[in-house]
Amino acid sequence: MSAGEVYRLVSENVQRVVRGKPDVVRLAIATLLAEGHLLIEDVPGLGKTTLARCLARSIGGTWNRIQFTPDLLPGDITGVMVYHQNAEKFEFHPGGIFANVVLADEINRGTPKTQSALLEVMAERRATVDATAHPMPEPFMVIATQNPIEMEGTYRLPEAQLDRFLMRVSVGYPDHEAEVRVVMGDTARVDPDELPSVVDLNTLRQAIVQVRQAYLDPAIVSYAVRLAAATREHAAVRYGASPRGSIALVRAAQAMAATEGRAFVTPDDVKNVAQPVLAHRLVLTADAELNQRLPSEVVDEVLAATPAPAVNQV
Amino acid sequence: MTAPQAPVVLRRRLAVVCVLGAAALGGMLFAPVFSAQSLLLPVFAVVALVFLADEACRHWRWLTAVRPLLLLVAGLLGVIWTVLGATTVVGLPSARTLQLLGAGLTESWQLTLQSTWPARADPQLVTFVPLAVVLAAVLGVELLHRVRPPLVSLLPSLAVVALSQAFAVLTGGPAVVAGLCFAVLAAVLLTVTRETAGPRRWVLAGLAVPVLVLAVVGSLLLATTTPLDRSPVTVRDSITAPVAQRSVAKPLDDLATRLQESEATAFTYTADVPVDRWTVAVLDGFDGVNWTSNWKFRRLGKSLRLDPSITAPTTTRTAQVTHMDPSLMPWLPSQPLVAWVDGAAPLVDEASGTLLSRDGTFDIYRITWREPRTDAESLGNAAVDARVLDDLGSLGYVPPELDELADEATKGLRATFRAALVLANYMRDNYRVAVGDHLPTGHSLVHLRRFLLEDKRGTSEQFAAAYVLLARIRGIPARLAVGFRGPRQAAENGQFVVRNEHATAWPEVAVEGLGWVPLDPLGAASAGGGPMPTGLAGVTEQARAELPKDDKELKDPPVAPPPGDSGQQADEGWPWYLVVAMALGISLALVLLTWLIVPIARWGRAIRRRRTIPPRSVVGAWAEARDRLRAHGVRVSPGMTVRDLMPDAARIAGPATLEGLQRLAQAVDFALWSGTAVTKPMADQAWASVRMVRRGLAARPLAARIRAALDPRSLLPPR
Repeated sequence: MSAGEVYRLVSENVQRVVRGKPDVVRLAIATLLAEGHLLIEDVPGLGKTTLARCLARSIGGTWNRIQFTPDLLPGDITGVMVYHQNAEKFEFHPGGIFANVVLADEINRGTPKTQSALLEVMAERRATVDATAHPMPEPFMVIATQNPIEMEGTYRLPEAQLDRFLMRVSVGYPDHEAEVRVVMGDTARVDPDELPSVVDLNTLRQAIVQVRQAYLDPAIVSYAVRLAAATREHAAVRYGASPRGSIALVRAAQAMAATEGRAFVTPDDVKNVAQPVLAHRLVLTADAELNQRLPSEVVDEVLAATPAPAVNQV
Repeated sequence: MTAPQAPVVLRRRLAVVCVLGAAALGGMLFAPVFSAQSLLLPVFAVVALVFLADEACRHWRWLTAVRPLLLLVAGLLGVIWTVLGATTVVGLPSARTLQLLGAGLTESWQLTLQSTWPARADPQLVTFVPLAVVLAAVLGVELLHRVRPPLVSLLPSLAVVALSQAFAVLTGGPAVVAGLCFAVLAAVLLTVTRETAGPRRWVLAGLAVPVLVLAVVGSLLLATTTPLDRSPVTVRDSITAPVAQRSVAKPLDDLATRLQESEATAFTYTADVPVDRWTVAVLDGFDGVNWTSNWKFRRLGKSLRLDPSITAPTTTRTAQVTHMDPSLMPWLPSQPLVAWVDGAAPLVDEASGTLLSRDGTFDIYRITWREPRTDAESLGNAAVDARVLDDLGSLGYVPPELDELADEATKGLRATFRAALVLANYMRDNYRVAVGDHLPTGHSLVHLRRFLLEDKRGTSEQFAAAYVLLARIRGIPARLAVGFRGPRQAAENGQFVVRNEHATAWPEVAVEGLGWVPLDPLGAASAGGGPMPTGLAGVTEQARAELPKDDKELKDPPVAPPPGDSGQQADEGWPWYLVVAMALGISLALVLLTWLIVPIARWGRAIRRRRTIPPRSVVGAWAEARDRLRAHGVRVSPGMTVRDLMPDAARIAGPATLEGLQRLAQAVDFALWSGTAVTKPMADQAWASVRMVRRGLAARPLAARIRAALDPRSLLPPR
């Protein structure tokens, strides 16, 4: 099964529950195909958790949900060594992180120490407990959600840790028709937990391999690097996208190409993922923040000002 | 100064040079008035000093507050040192300097308008030019530093240019060169003051080249094909030097009196060879009572240009008038074709060469003049200059018997110079010169009728006046000159003494290519004992002598008849409405041609984009579609891809355009980014999509399509 077919099946399955947000669903599946992690940031009630649950259910792997609270400990995530009296030895009890898809709900309610434990696993794809590394299952994806408006009792994710998420997306309010369909869907009681899995793990792994093999023209890579570099040179930006951002841009673009059933990447793919990939990696200057500038505006300006690769050839 | 600032400083300096160059150009456009050599030093000294002052302000920032004053002082010093240097004390301005400087602002331009051109570069006249350059330079530099856009800084220079053109209009090649110089300065100014850099500037420069070429070609064509056959209008046309009319005597009225006081010295002169005759005044208007002239006296400038209608070769001659009887004042003995006068600064009537003392005093002067050369045979067959007849005016009522007499005197010949010679012969043969104490006077129609039909005896006054009357009745352009015949021999001191007995009047006839040719209807008994005429008058005498003695052998010479004689219209140039229509037509054609540059350039660009290797052709197709849409108002930025154009394109164009863009996007993506080799069919497919886009755009309203076709911005790369 091709990556495009995988995308189609998963997308259709998720959209049985998540109505009116095909772009968000597409980005989420692209993150999965690109072996990245997804941060969904929005106000409550827009279906962040539902999206994550649907995605997890759609693939035939395991999934866990970790509700982040201030009293959550790193061991709750990574697991702990427990002494077994009968066997007279310590045994590893894996934490909630050990699943193919992990939903880290309201991640900003966890303490920084706990957040760090999660983010370390996200980056290294293994959990180290008592000097023993425990690899994560493949594929492995963390879908974190956070609420940007309730700041009391929360711990904002540091920029360095935000960098570990391949994309950050906002679900956004649905339009009238979509909201009507959402309500109708709710009335029909389509429970995300009852969604069938439409692809098995092997198929997903093959699709991921296909995504990584999508053809990348050097001009496309150069374009992605120029975009990332342009964010560093923007006047409103204190810290722009790192080389990890350039890599993320290219990988996400490869996944986007796959969602369209293409085996090659176009500049449009790069542009389509530039906002979710780059915006959360930017740290604006104090002046820009005082002027209520948004990272998304900076990305828009960078996209408009950076010549697309084909233009340079005439 | 740090390294990155250097280009900025250089560009600013270049901008100042452009502004000052434009001011200097404006000043140098006064060259037809004063000559380029006279203006070169003051104009460039002024702009150089203003430039140095501006540089000083740039170097020492604290001077910036007083920069306008500093620039003004520097410019004025340039004027003082180069034009008013003789009035300074150790290089510093004296009271006289300041007085002349003030007069330079208020009077010098007026005196210049009263002068012949090229005018003398006297401080009283020339000062206003460098002063205008100073003002244009100071204002221009200040505007450059303070006001945007930069072209505003050229407005003062443009005002100087306009002033110069009000004085003397440049035409033809010089006008084209001057206009191009100004345009180049403006273009350089615009280029060096633009904030944007990079390829866009070069694209702009590339666009400027065909426009410039078009402008040059158009201007040259316009300059060479202009149908205007007359001098351009200037403010000088209606301005002459003021003359105190009461102090101007009437030489013709005084002629008889002079002849009666024959021994008195009128004036003396020195010359290598005797001068045949000296003109005092020329009279060409006759109202039946008085002989008048429409003199336009001007201050005599450096020199007088030879009348372009005189095409015969000329000889330059010189004489020095060393003494003159005060009774002759304010007239100064002169010649018809004055070249220049040294030692005095008289007024001059350019049409007749008449000189008038400006203040009624006499200074020894040296006069240089030109004398046309010809031979008797050519002169005998020459045509008269019929165009002059219109300027001479009408004779008014003429008794029919004089009409008959004129016909008989010219033997029925057409109005040619041969007829003029025959008329002179007739008068010689049929009239007597009065001598003695009681000389007849008067030159009104009554007097002339009596002289011609009854007395048949008179002085040169009656002979010349009657000749002019009869000649003009026959359509021969003639005028009356009053002056002196020169003595043949010099006195012992080498000077030629001209006495009252040499006073005389003679007719002159306008001959094509020669100008005014003197005749001697008095014959051998002319004044002063009858010296044989020399020079042009001598050739005339020879031509007259060669006429057939028998009237039956007299024939018209083989020349075209004058227009009054045959009824044909003279070639007076094209009617004004035709000239205006042609100018409008040429302007319109140039504008249209300029507009056509856009579609032609776009067409050429499309061909260039298509006829290349397939990968480039595909990219060219994308660029072509982008630029087509951009011309229709679709917003475009360098970062856009084909798909980015669709939302805006959907706003203005139909589904065909959107489908075309969709297909183009697929073609471009596959051709460029799939890693497969781009083939010609792929390129053709991309261009087929472009055609689909164009078909969709063709459905737009006509006005929108015309605007899009002529919009030059689509020739530039997107910003």
